[in-house]
Amino acid sequence: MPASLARALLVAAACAASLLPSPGGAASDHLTIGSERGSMDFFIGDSLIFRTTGGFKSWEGTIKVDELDITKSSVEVVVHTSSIEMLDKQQTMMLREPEFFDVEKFPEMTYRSTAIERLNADTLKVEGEITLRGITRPMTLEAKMIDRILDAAPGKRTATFRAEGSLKRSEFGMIKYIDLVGDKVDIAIHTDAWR
Amino acid sequence: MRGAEGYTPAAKVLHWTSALLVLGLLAVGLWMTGLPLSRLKFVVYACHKWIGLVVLVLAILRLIWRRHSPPPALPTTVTPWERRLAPVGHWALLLLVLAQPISGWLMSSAGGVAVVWFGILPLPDMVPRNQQLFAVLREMHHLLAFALMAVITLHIAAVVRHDVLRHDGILRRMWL
Repeated sequence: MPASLARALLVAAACAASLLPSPGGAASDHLTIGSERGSMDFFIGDSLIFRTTGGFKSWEGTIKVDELDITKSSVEVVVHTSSIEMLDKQQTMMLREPEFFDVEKFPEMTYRSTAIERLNADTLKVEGEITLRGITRPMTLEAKMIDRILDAAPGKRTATFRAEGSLKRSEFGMIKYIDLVGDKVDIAIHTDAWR
Repeated sequence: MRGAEGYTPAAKVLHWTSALLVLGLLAVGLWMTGLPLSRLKFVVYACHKWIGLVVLVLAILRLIWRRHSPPPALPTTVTPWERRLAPVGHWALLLLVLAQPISGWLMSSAGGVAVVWFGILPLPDMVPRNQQLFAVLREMHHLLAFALMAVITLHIAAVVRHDVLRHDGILRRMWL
């Protein structure tokens, strides 16, 4: 076997190995994500008057990864609505009020995946349902794996993800100032995942 | 009037337009921060930013025009110390009128609020959203506003001293 062919086969084998289950032998993995090591920001971007951004400072989630059949994987995220934060205190207080997140009545916003599909080597399409103010609507996230550390010890970062999606706040009954501030809200999550 | 040469019509238009807008922005700026969150507040803040950026454009045009057509010589009634001080005051005003809208734009970007100029032209964020930077820039924007008010007061006081007390035509050099 020529040396160059042998080298090519070795490289191919190494690449294939990186897509297989982790060396621990587990075909599935339970990973934790959350505000402890990540951020969840939102952008209200379709207004011509006032485009703004904010974030949630307290949230956590779990990812069940089936590495042999990614469609069997799942994601669940719980966001504590009172942790919403804009850089302007008046806006933060307003968003906690009944006309927006109504944090007293609805302290949690949840997201649960219903189907996961691989778009390419690093990117997954996550279809799911978001429940906010007691209203459940479908929401799709596009999740990209930025980094992966095989053999990470429990508690240590094993992957870093960035996920993006969008929703219309009017579908959840949040219509105040919609003509000035806009309806479409883009959401970006950047988080480490750990076992 | 004793031999005071006038500014060009373009310089006068730029000066008075900027003056009216800056005075309006300072007054509105002081008022709007105390408003409760409301539809009015969103609109007033947007207009404040849009007009502030008009002032920035006018300040740049004034700098270009000043280079193309330098200010006329001061009248002979102006004393040597006033002659040294006058350009310092004018440059301080110009720099503050440049710096103030830039600090506002920076503050808005750091606060995570993008500006769409007059609802038409989306402007880029000058810095990423950052809470600490936002706090620093907000303080800077306030300080610059008070510095601007102080220099404008001195500017008006100097004009009154010349035109009302000495009648040496300083105001008429810039009058339309």
